[in-house]
Parts: sequence; structure tokens; C-alpha cells
Amino acid sequence: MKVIVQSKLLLFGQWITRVQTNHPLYQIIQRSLTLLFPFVLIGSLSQLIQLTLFNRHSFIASIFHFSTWLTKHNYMQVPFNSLTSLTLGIVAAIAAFATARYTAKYYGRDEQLASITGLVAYLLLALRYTPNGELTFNANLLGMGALFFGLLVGYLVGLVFRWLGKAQQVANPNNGSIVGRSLDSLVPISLVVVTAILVGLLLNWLEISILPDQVILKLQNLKANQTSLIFSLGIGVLVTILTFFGLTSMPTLEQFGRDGFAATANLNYAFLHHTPWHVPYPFTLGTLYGPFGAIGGTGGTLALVIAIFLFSRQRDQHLIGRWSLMPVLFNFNSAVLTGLPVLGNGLYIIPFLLVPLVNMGIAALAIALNLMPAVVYNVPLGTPGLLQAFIGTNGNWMALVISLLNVFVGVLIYKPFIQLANRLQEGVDQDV
Amino acid sequence: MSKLQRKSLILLGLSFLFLGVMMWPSAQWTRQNVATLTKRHDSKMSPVIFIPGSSATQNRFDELVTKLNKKRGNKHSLLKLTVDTNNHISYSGEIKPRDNEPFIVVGFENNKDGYSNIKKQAKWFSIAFTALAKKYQFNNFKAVGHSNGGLIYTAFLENYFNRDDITVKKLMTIGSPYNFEETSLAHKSQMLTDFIANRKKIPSNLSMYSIAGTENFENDGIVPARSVEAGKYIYQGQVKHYTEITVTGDQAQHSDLPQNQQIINLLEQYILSKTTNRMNQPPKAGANSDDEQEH
Repeated sequence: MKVIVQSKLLLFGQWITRVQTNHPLYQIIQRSLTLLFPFVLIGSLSQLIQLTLFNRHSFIASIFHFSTWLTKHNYMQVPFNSLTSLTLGIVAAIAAFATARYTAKYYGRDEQLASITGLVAYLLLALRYTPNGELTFNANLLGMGALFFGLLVGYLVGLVFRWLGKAQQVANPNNGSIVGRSLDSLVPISLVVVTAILVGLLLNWLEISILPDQVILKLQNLKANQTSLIFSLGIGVLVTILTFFGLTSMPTLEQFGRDGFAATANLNYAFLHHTPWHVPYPFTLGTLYGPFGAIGGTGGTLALVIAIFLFSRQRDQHLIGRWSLMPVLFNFNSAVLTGLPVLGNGLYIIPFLLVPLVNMGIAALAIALNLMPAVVYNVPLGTPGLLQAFIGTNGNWMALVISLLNVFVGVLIYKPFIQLANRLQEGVDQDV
Repeated sequence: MSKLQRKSLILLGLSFLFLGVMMWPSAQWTRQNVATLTKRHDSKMSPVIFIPGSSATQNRFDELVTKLNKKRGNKHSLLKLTVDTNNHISYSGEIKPRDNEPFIVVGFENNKDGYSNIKKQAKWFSIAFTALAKKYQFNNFKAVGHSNGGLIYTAFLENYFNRDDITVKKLMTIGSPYNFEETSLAHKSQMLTDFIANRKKIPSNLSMYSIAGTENFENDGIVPARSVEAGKYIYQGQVKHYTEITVTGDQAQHSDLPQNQQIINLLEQYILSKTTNRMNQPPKAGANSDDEQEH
């Protein structure tokens, strides 16, 4: 039985690899994501320091009682805030830069001009037109949650260069003057910039958001659905899929289940009866997804990092895992998602979706069997994923045990896919 | 086990150790946090917090409180606070145990008129409010402001009051000049412009009553009725209910308004809780004498 499953998995892996290596778009995206990794990592570390240490409502400040002191020394988080905004906060714009570059390179066009054009085009799209004429951007369109659009715009810019630009004559350095190069690319650059401005104007005029975040947040306002287990599991899977394709990011999901009538009703019940046991709505997003379905961030990433440490034979994966471990402990998983990369990588789509679903199922079962109370109390900003259930149940030990069990199960689910990645990589090495 | 793996696993072990160390303080924090919040949730106290107008002290509402207590049987205890210019708070009076609807008056050492002073007074009020909330753990309160006190409340609600654990249920402003001494709604003062710009920050579940006094058809002797009316640009449409009431007749002069029997009735009707023991109240006698006064 085990052998059959393994051979099936290997076939799946080989098929995925074949599809992915044969498709230029996939190669371009993989390289672009790898290029993003250092900035995402630095941004995540800075975010970690800001949100777990220097924010007044942060985890460390709360449990070690220096929130009041921080109120007076508010400036301490400013440099970290800025650093996060200018690294992690502009990831989508950098992605447009990188994808335009690799696309142009793949088709033998001027990669430098293409990359700059990609960046400018994306910034034009994210521009927000204000009455007083200040230069402001739609921050949501620049961050991790809009990675998909960054990659898309970059790719389209690269394609425009492919069709309208002239092939680069690298072999003839004496002939190709710098000005000549720029003149060659003037047509595609103008076309891209004009299109970007028009689309940007349209977005501003219609006042619509192309990000799916708002749709998800609207979904949670549907009163009737909010309390059922099926709805919670469904939304849990939906947001995981969106994250997988770079269409949303954790900060949006953090709001999830925190507000809404079910969370308020639960909290009121708990305060009134002096207990988190037997609250009216035990199976909501707030009680299941945050504390159990996303330990280490979307997709149960802590389990992924541990699985890499235990089963991976690839040096790169270990290094990326080590660098990302600290942020992942506190649920900031952007670094590992772009570094490995997990995003858009068919190899990891099964465990990435399965782990949150199974974890939420285990938690729901434990609540249904009265093994632990529902997570109803608020936790400080940037609380480690493993401790969220423990703190959110007013220190229930069983909740901590279930969290640990969830990570363990998560590792088991990720294990065969990490081993598959090992085998595929070794196959490639042998071929070389 | 390869060297690569060993190094990674040591790192993992260290981070789990780190989480383990965090566990004890985390448990402490959540127990304390839940206990505090439960206490606040259980609190049945719903104080009425008064702010006097400019040039008035924390004693401004003494007569009003005496009249109300006479009517309601000495039910409400009175606590008075004064905030000094150096943010220090001094207290006088006390809240009696088991008084669920105490009256609290917050006055200021600097009680001068003018927009710049109102901004400062709103900040001082927020300091007093934070101290009160911490000490008495109430989860809701009712607000009354006379004259500039209503402006201070508006500035406080817009700029300082962003708590999700405490709600302001009702606000009554008495003769508050939202447009200072302007007699026309066409000329908006800087303060009114600022108030309108930030109106979205005012809690939307608030019931607001704006009372204007008039001696003649124009004003109450000091504040133009038009200026009180300007409050609608701030509150109307933003709060749950916005009600304007005009009081005329005896004691409708600006400074008499807090003692005006009709306003005391309105306070009782709209601001104070209904579930009081009316046993101590002389049956209908008070109401009859009111009528006589008004005629």
C-alpha cells in the first residue's frame, strides 16, 4: 500500500515538474519569487520586531508589562514600521520589476528597460488620485496581498517588449549606443505607461478594489453562515487558496473572525458566565481558523518548516527554513512562502490546503467532544501561533496540547511532499 | 543525521525552549486580562459625567444635583474632579458603595473660553476619564455638558475616545455654542469646521440631545440659538438619535440653565436610568409644583 502511494506521488511529482519546467511563465515566476526573498525576509523580521516587541498592544510588551512605557516611547517602532513598508510593503511592485525583467530576458529583449518599465507601470496602477494632488499609493496594491497582480503586470510588460521591442544585439558592443537602446524601446515603454495610466484612472474613477480581500470580508458579514462549521472550513480553504496564488495575505486574515457578531456573542457569553466553555457559537472562523488552521501562518507553515528540518536533504531549503523560523513562530510566513517557493508551486498545493482543513477539523472535533473550550478571548498582537489557543482559552492546557497535535499532524502531511522534492531534486542533479 | 539537519534541529529546539519560557508569563497575562475584562463586563455602574462651561468650577452642578436628589431620594452620590494644568487630578466627594448611577463632575484649573483652551480641556478630560475608567471599571456612561462643556465633550469624542470596552450611551449638551457667538449658520468658525471634519469618529450608537435656552427669539442672553443649532452639522446623521429641544420661560438665561426645572426634568427623562426606586419620591407633588412654576 505504502509503496503504491509513494509511486503515485512520484508520478505526480514528475508530472508537475515536467509541466512546470516546460512552461516559460512558471520559470519566470519562480525566479521572480526567489529575487523577492531577501526583501521579504528583511521586511518580515522588521515586522516581527515591530509587532511583537515595540507595539503597545504587542505580545512581548503585554506579557512583560511594558505597554505603558511604550506609549511614551512610541517613536521606537517608527524605523521598523518604515523598513517594513519599504520592503514587505512594496513586494508587489518589486515583483512587477522582476517578472518584467525575466520575461524580457527569456525572449531576448532589453531586460533593464523592461524591468524599470514594469516597476513604473505597476506604481502608476497603484496610484491613488487625491483632490489635493499629493503622490499617494494604494498600500494594499503594493503589498504581499497583491503579489499576483505584480507578477501579472510584470509579465504583460515583458510580453509588450517581446512583441514591440527589438532583439538585443549583445554581440556587437561597438554598434549599440546607449541612446540607440533607449530609442529601440521607446514604443513599448510609451504604450505600457499610457495603458497603465488609463487603467489606473479607471480604477480610481470606479473606486473599485481589484483585490478579493473585500469580498472575503463581506462574506463574513453574512450572519446566517458565520456560525456553521461548513462555512468556517470553506472560508478557511478559500483564503488558503487565495494566499497560494498571491491574492491575499495574512494581515487581512488576522481581522478574520475577530469582529463579527458571533465573536461578540461568544465573548459576552464567556464574560457573563465566567467561562469559555459551551459558548453559543463554537465553530466560527475566530475559534477555528486563527488559532488552529494557521499555526505559523496560512497553510500551517510551522509544520512545513519543521518537516523541512526533519526530512529535507536540500541545503537551500534548510537555510531558508532557518532564516524564516523566527517570523514563522509568530505567524509571519511571507519569507518561507516566497523563498522555497510555496506560492504557485504545484508540488506543495495539496499539503498547503490539506493541513489547515485537517487542523481545523481536529480542533472542531476536540471542541465537540468537550475536550477543550472554544477560543474566545482576545490575544495580543503578534502572539506565536502555538500559544494562541492557550492564551485565547484563558490558559487551557488541553488547547495547547491540541495545538501541538495539530503541528505534529501537519508535519506528517508535509513529510511525503518534502521527500518527493528531495527525490526530484536528486533526479535533476543526476541528469546534470 | 547529517550536519545540516543537526544544526536546523538545534535551532528548532531552541525556539521551542523560547516558546516554553513565554508560556508562564502568557498564562499570567491572560488570566489577569480576562479577570479585568470580566469585572468590567459585570459592572453595573453607569455614571453620569458632567463637564461645566468656561469660567465655571467643579461645583457648577451642585444645585442641579441637590434638586435631582431631592426628587429621587438622595440616590446619586457626587464625585468632583479638578484637572490641573500639569495633568494632576484632585478629587473631592465620593462614590457611595452600591451607587450604580453616580454623578461625576470634571472641572479644570484652566477653565477659560476659546478654541485653543477647549482643545486643552478635552485632553485634560481624557486624562480624568482614563483614570475614572480604571478606578471604577464601568462599561458605559452618560455625558452631560453645559455651555463649553458640550464643546469639550465633542472634542473628546472625536479625538480621544476610541475605546471598544466602554460605550457612551447618551450625550446631553445644554446651551452649547457649536458655532461660538456667530448668529448665522453661513459663517462657520474654525472649531465647527474641525468638528464637522472629524464627525465620523463620534460613536454611531449614541443618543444625543442638544438643549437651547432662549430669553427672546434670538438667544439665551449669551449664546445665540443659531449657534446651538449648528450642532446638527456635527451630530445629525452620525449618531443614532439627534434631538433638539428649545427651553423658554423662567430661568432660561444661559447661566441659569443647569438649574432650570424643565431641564432637570429632561435630564431625568432622557439621561438617567428609569429603573430607579421611585418609592422615595413624593407622589406627583414635584410634578405639580413644576407646572405651577412654568405658568
